[in-house]
Amino acid sequence: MLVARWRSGEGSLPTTSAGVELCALAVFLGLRVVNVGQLLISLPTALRDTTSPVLFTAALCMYLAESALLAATTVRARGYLDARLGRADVAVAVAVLLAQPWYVAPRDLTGSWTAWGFACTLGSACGAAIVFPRRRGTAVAVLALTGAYLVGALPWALPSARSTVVANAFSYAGFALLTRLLAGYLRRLAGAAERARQAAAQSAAEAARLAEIDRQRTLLHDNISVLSLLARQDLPPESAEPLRHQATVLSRKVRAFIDDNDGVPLRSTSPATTGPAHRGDGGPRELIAVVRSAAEGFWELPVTFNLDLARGVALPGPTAAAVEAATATLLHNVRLHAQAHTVVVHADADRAAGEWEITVRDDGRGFDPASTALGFGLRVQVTETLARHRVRVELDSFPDDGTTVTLRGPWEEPA
Amino acid sequence: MTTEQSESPTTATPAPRVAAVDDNTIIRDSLCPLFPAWNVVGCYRDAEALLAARPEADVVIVDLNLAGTGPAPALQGPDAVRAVAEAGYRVLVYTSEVRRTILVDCLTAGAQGIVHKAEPLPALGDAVDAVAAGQVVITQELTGLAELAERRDQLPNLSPREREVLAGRARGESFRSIARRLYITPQTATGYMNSVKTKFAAYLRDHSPADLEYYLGLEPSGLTDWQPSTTDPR
Repeated sequence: MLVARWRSGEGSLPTTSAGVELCALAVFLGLRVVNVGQLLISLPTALRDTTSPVLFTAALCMYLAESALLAATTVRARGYLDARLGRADVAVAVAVLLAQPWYVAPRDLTGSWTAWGFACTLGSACGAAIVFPRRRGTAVAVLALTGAYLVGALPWALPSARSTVVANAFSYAGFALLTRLLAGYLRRLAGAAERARQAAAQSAAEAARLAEIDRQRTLLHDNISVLSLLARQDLPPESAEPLRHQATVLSRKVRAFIDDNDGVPLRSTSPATTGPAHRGDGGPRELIAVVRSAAEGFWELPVTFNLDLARGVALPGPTAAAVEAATATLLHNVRLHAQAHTVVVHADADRAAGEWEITVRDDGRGFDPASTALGFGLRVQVTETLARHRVRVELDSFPDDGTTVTLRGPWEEPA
Repeated sequence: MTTEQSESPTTATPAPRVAAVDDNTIIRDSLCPLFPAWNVVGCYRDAEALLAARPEADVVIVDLNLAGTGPAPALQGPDAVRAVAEAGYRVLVYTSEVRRTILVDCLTAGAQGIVHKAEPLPALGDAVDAVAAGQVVITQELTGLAELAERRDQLPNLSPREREVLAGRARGESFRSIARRLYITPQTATGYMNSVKTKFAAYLRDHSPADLEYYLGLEPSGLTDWQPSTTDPR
């Protein structure tokens, strides 16, 4: 999987906390492998110059065995996280350093691969910076390694090489400090990234929840006016039939919504059975027909249609469906809120400007747009939905002087 | 269904003398109690009765469907309007008819105003006052038709302001709203619209329904569907 991620250019390690631990482990074990590789390359020379081949071999085998065990354990744990392993590695390193005078000649105590203990145990200092969670643990390990190196080399080294031994001794602290700096920063970075991802996921979930609420409100908004009329006790008998028709259409929309939410449709909803609201699923439709279809069922509203100026204008299917739904929502708003005596639905088209226009005007009670928040229907069902079809919505209202909502969209004549 | 008429109160004038032609007994009998400010000079069940009586009236309210329950009179619809208008009366059509074709025929026949029966009673009162004052009263549908005529270059003598006011009224905009938008007074806006209606009514009187269909680009469905009677009413 890591290789696959690397090949895809995504990066072999994820940018998470777990990824950082894997990265730190890879660096630690990689350093160990490099050291062992270099050691094996120089092994013939080191064996030739050693003062005790038996002890040399024993120390080397102990180191290799411990390294192999450490690698197996940490790889299985997908991180160098167990402080006990860290203490064991430091202990082995200390033992190697203290044993060096017994199998390395004094003149070779500052040689890199004759006295291999120094080069190999620098990696243990780096490991201590990774594995110990507290700085104190890393400091103790560094002191132990530095002390063992000095004890195992300084008294035995030639006078001319003692300054080299002292200088080398600082390497443990330097390596550990830099490694801890890098590992600590990467861990904090990964933590911040994870928190950001979590916050983004929560935001996405919240956005999805709000979008779902909007969908439900969109569905229910237009039902309010129909239900309020159906609940009227003084409903004229001649009005019952068109109202029932409108209620049937809306009930099918609710049914379709539930089917959609279930993922698997409970029943087929062909255009013939879903009513006017679904007529826009197909090709272009005449704007005048769209407006008249939207006004179906508003039998009790005193609507006058002045639509002749838009004759010949056709809307793409999806746009027609959105405009029809928005126009119906505007009429639902008039029914619910306006208390209007007259309603005028006007359509116009300007070929030169490449634009069509629908105006819904009522002479009802109006409101002050500057001090009144727009309702859900106008804000979401009309404005936001139509914006996705490049249709602009303008509102003009004045207290006690009615409301005008104007829809303007691009007139694209078929090629 | 609204009526295009002035929103400004008319100045104090003598009570208009009103006659009515309607086959509905209740309407004939209720005009006096409903409009005590009017001087109702006579109510008739058909146009022939009015023309026979020749009352002195500033406005004659005419219904289009005069069939009633008895034998149908010779004059119906736009024919009745034409007969009454040619007798020198100012005719205000008071009807449930909403077909634009018929309403255009009424204006062509000489009607000076049209009010829908579905409108609130004050609309009828205002319309009578306006017609008595010599103004033209048209419905919202006909205001839309006037806009269509203007856009098809059939009303070239409209001023730019008159076009703006007409566009607003065709969309149902109130005179107050138009006034706010154009930075004029509502009375000024009303004056512009009165001028538009007068010019539009004159245009209709000079054009046949077939002309309208041709010039306005309307489908040949409605404007010629009324077949005028050939009976001479007099």
